[in-house]
Order: sequence, then structure tokens, then C-alpha cells
Amino acid sequence: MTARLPGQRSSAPVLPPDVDLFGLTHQGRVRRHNEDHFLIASLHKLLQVQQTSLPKEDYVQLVSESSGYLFLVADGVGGIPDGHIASETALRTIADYVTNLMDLYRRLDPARDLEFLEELAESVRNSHRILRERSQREHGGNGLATTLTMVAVLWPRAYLVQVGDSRCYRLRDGQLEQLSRDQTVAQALLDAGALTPEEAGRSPLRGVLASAVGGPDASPYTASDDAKRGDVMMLCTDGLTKHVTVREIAAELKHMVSAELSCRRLVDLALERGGSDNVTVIVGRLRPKETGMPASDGVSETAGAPPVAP
Amino acid sequence: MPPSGDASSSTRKPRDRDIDVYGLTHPGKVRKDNQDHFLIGSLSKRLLVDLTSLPTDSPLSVEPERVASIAMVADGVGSGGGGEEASREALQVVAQYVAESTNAVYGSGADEPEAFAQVLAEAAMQCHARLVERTGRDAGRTRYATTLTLWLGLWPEAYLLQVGDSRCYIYREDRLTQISRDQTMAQDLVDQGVMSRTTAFRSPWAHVLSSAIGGQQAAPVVTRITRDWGTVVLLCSDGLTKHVSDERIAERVAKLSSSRQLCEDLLQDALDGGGSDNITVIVGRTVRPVDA
Repeated sequence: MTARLPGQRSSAPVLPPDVDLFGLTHQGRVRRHNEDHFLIASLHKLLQVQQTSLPKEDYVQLVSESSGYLFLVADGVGGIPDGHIASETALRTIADYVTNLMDLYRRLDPARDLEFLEELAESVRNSHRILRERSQREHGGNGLATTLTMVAVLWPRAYLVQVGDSRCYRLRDGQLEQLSRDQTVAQALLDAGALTPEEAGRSPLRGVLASAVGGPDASPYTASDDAKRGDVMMLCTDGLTKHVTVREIAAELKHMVSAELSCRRLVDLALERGGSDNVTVIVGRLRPKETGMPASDGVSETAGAPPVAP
Repeated sequence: MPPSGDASSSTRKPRDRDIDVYGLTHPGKVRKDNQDHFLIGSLSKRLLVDLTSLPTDSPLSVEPERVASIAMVADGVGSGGGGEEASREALQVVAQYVAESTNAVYGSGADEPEAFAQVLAEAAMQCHARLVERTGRDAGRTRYATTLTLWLGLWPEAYLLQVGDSRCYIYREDRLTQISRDQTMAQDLVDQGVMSRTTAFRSPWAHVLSSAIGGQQAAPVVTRITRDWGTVVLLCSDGLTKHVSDERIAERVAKLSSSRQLCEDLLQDALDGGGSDNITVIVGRTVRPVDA
């Protein structure tokens, strides 16, 4: 077994104390490879000093605290080549694109909210084109497909872009809500009224993607909403939801101690029940402010100061 | 010269390699100490990976993209050795503030130029409060005060923060224009029509600051400027302009071959003219890639 448990920390930015993030992937108990990938990153501003009369010690660069977070989960579709190539390529190309997209000096006013979401979707379409070209050049148009679920949190807004059936859930005020829409053939038939929910849940078409990055068709689903303190965001591949119910996920996140512990417990549960597929989970939470007041006092903390301001 | 493959080089945003910027400072011929400081830097975005399953042998991100260029000149004017410390601290505090403050601009609800003006003015006032407090702690034995001229270059717009009498000029279409307004008693008297320009600049008020960081009063002014390829930006302390006229500066800029050369030529002019004060010069420009 060569489980990647957890991912490596390639650099070690210090997270603000009120931000709790973790991600975990496991190949499961049946599959011989892990074709899932995930990425948790934060955007920073960097002041590089080119020339100065000041004494230069500890002064060559200043890194700002994070001005945004990015969560990505991708589940590569198996075949030739291995699915992990598609999921890895998707994450890399999207991360590059999004870094250059976010002009941190430009305030995102509500009028530009949709425009920004559209640009995030474009980062996914760009990745789709790259995979598609490579697939046609090297594999006759087959292979190199992956799901992709991305959440970008730029306080006080959260953005979702999703292709395929990796999911995004949000726990808010004790309620778990699935923010993503499964892009499977079974779901499409259910939406069209051709299948009942029971039939859709049993159908072999529930595992067939109607839309995939690098596949014949990629149609990103997009959504945006206010972010709130106390919200828990969870991204996962279907290796989790094949074995763990929505109710169980809700129970885990409601009593969450830390993002790491919840990730480990959810992955363990999927493994205990068979681990039939690769399992990946990301959990992120902005802790409520320690004000001494109960979180449920009705005071909205939606807007106001950025969560990680100095 | 870097090669070009870019037909739209006259309109696109300059890249790092298109930017030619240089700065220098010199104590002059009379003063023993140099109380001027300057800083040139760039602000860029960077994605830091917190956690990933991706193999880390190949780095994730591309080279960070420049978001803004920053250039600052501060001319310390305190007494008892406080001038040098004041100008140094001003640059450090403001650099830190500007690096951290985008979160405040982001989502502030105000329109963008207003948000910028606010962030830059706040940076100056925060620094002012620190220096005033320091002077108070030393019971006035040492005074910590400084000018501050800060250029924050986005594209195509830029923001200029001005406190005191260090200057910012821009040169475009063969014309040199002073963008900053001297915050001196003399300038105030000219503006109020009390004195003529010539009289005022020969008067004892010529170099008495009406506003300084750490001084009696700090009245930061933020100006928004739009520029294009070919605009030359010059920041300097009054050690230059005491000896080198605007006409002379314009002549020098017209013959510019590199920012470094221009800085060195202007410094030499100021030294030749007497070098009575510390001299600091920063020159920045964009250089169009030459078509192959």
C-alpha cells in the first residue's frame, strides 16, 4: 500500500489561528492506484525589495497574510494513461491560472462577482482544453479526463466551480447542504424525470460522468455565496459518498474538533465499509470569533473585517 | 535588449523585464550624515501550497506576477540624530503596511481610488503617530520627523503619497511636470498669494515643512495619476532640487540612456552645485521591447 497520508506540506505558510484546514487522500482497499488529487493553497502578497538604503537584514521580502484560500479536489478517470495524470494536470494548470487571475489590488465589488466566477470557470475550461489537446495528440482522444471541484474563498465571498461528481458540502447553522451538482448521466435522467430517485440511486449510470474536464464535454457548474464565520466547507470524491451517508457526514462536521480529525474519521469510515474507490476529503473552517458570546446570538458576522487581517 | 514577440507592446502591461528602475543616495559635500533613505520594490501575488497530494518535486506555481511597483524616498528632518531613524522607520512601517493592507482595500465597499487613497494616508498617519510617540518618550531631546514621497505604480494608474517636500516628477511628451506639491511654509505663502514664487523660495520659509511625518502636523495628500509606456518617473529629496533646476532635470531626462545613468548624472549635477544636503534620486521607466 502506498497511501498518500496526508499530502506533503511543500511549503509552510503559517495559518492564522482562526483558520483550520486539512486534506487527506487514500487509495482505498480495492484499487491499486490512487487517481485522486487534492490541493489546499493560500494566496499571499509578496513585497520584494529590489534596491534600498535600509539595512537589508530580514528585509528582502515581506509576505502578507493570506488574502484568499483555494481548495481543489480532482478524481481522475481511470484508463490509459492513469487517471492521476489527468487529475494532477488539472490541479496544476488551474492553480497557475487562478494565481494570475486574482488581482489582489482589485476589490471585488458585487457587480464584478459574476465576472469573477466566470473567470474561475474559464480556468477550468482552459484546463479542459489543455487535457483535450494532449489526449487527442497522444491517446486518440480517449483518456485524460477528471472531475474537478474548486472552492475559492475570498472573504467575504465563497465561489464554487465544479465539473463531474466530486462534491462540495457546506455545514451552516447545523444544516448540511450539498452545494455541488453531480454531473452524472443518472442525475441528468433524474432531473429530466426519466428516473425516480430510487432508480437513479441504483442505476449503473450513476457512475458515468455527463461532464468531465478533459472528457468529450466539460460544462462547469458555478455558484457563489457569502462566507460566514463558523461555516464548514467539505470537498470530497465519490470514494467517500459511496460508503458514507449525508447524515453521517453532517454528524461528523457538527461535532468537529479539528479539520484533521474529521478528515481522518471520514476516510476511516469509508475504508471500514469496503473502501471500494480512492477516497479524498478536504475540510476547511473559519472558526467563530472568540468573543465570549454564544455563536448563536443572532449577530451576523458575514461582513466586516477580513478574517485574517493583521 | 529582450526579444519581442508581442505586437501589442504599446498597450499591454509592462513585465518585470520591461522595467528599468534605479535609485541612489549620497550624503553630499557638507553634511556628515545621510538622513535620507529610499526603497524600491515590487509587490506580487504568490500561491503558497498549504497541503497537497501532488508530487512536490516539480514546483507548482509560475513566477509570481508583479501587481505593483513601489518606490519611496524619505528625508529625515529631526534633531539629535532622529532624522535618519525617522526616515528609516517611515519606510519600514509603510512598506509593511502596504504589503499587508490589500485585505482592507479588498471588499472595503468604497470605490477603488478612494480605498487606495485611504490605505496610503492611513499608512502615513500610523507612521506619524509612532514617530510622535517616540519623540514624546524622549521628552523632546530627540525629534523624529521625516518627509515621505511614495509612488505605488499599478498599470496604467499610479498613486502618489506626499508628506513634506521630497518631490515626484513625471516626464512625458518632452515635458517635465512636478506631480507632488511641496508641503513647505513657502509654498503655502505662494498659494495664499502672500509672496511671489521667487521671493518665497529665497525666504527663510523655503525649507520649513508645513507637514511632516512625526512633525507638528502631518497632512498626507494622495494623488492618482495615469501614465503610459515611455513615461519617466523621478523621485528625489530636496538635496537634488536645491542645486539642480527643473530645466536642467528636463534636459537630463531628455537624453536618458538608462535609469542608472540618469541618477548618476543628476547626483553629479547636485554635487557640482555645492552638495549642501543629502541627495537621493530614484528614476523608473518602462522600456519598450525592440522589434527584432
